[in-house]
Amino acid sequence: MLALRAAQEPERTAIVVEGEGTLTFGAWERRSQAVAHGLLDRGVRPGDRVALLFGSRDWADFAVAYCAVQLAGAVAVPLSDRLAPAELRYMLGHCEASAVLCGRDLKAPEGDRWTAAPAELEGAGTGPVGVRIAPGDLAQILYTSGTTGMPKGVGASHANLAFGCETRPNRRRFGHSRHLLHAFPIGTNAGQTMLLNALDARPAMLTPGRFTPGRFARLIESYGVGTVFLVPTMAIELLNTGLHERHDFSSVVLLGSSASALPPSVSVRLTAAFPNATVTNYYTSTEAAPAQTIMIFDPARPGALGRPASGGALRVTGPDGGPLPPGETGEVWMRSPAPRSYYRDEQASAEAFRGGWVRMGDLGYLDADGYLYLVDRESDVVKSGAFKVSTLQVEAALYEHPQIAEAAVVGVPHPVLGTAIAAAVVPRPAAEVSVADLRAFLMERLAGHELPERVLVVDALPKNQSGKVVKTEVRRRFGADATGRTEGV
Amino acid sequence: MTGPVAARLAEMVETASDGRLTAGEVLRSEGSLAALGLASLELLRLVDGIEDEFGVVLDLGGGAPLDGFPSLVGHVAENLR
Repeated sequence: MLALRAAQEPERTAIVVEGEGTLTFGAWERRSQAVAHGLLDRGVRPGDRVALLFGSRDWADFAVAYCAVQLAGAVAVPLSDRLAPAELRYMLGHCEASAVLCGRDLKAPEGDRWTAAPAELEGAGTGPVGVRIAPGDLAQILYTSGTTGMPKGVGASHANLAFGCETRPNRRRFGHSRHLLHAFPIGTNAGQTMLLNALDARPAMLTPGRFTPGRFARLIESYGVGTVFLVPTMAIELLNTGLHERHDFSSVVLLGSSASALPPSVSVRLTAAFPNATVTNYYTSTEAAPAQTIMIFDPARPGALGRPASGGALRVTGPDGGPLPPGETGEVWMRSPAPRSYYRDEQASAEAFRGGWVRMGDLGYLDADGYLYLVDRESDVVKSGAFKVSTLQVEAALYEHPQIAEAAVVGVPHPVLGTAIAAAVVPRPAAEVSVADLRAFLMERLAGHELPERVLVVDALPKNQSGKVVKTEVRRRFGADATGRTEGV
Repeated sequence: MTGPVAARLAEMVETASDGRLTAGEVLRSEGSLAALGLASLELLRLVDGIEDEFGVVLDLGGGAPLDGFPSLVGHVAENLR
């Protein structure tokens, strides 16, 4: 795909990282080929896993490294610079990465593998590397929070990634726009979707080198951005801080939101803040992509997440595994035209992937016209802002603290994030736990979005007769009348 | 920490956290703002606020200025000159 686009439009800008630089399709292809030669020269072989550890300011180098790994027939494992050292070590060990390509100022944890910056691999060879790749070959592994606490590696084949991509110049997506702006981190499914957009859509992919809502808003205005992708948290923050009143958003014709459902009231406010934009909600998961539902905001169906698109199918499933009629609530299942699976985890794969269907981990129902609606559920995985966070993983990190006897982690309502992470901890006898020290301890083990925003030190956790922690009660203690000994200091 | 920049920045941290962290405790803190309990979204608000009010651009990836409140105050004060 890259070779074809580079031949069609070598001088066209593919990626703009604000404050850092640009990448044309021609340079993207030349540099990817050079890095692929470098990988092969260093002994990388087809099927080897090569991790890519990059921050957002190095999106261009990441794009080069990602394509280079796949040109060499190896498997790209994108990793965010936001991950804590312990998480990185787990992921690199789980996929047995043979090498890590790093962005500026980033270092991979010590291990039995070599590391390099992409530029260090460029130079030796040029032109096509000539490695044959089959559509079913594994191309990418993305780590996502799993219900058992440890991150799951979601494997995708070349056929999966290329499904639905458009190579005909007159059919390119988002043809109405010169720039497509997003701020999704590397290592997420949304980030990978944006990389594919950079490859095959009409507009150049624009991203801030260092994201803040204010900088994002300025970019919309200064570039006259036509297509914007964000998550509900970002949308709410833009609106609450009044950025739409200080900046001109009239250039935006498509405002896409993903990661979780846009609350209807937010959609209404967005249609006012972006007066010329079609507000569109996308619902998918790392496991189900490219299958998704798409919903253009419709005041008549404000809570709907849409109907299946991109070659996928959707159903609401009952306890017996059969589809439920409209109006009845059950598990949401989505079928991908080119299924993914968990890498090296057959048990979890058997749980999540059923005969071509993906269990989304959400409960919902369909209306008579086939539109999907989600309902709340009790889950060990909560969505905080754009991220899925395993409360079990946060608990596991808390239990590593020598002064903590017990811990329970829950999601609590948050006006912008939707859900914030909250932890109730019981210190060991005679132990004094400082919440600041506890957070510092967790920062070695958890990514920023996984750190509990609220911490309550309590004498005991609420439990039922069988000794199981009652999480609804834990959540209640974080309510307005919380009476713990220490709260968040 | 004392001084007008420190006092104003502590107020801005309080505002960014929707009042969960008080200016007083921020002024007394020495560890990182994240360890103090400033969530990642709130940190972004603070960075935007500092950029708007002081014209000082903070690099979130760089670490150092945001490692602790004293270093943040030092960085902002230095770049004001």
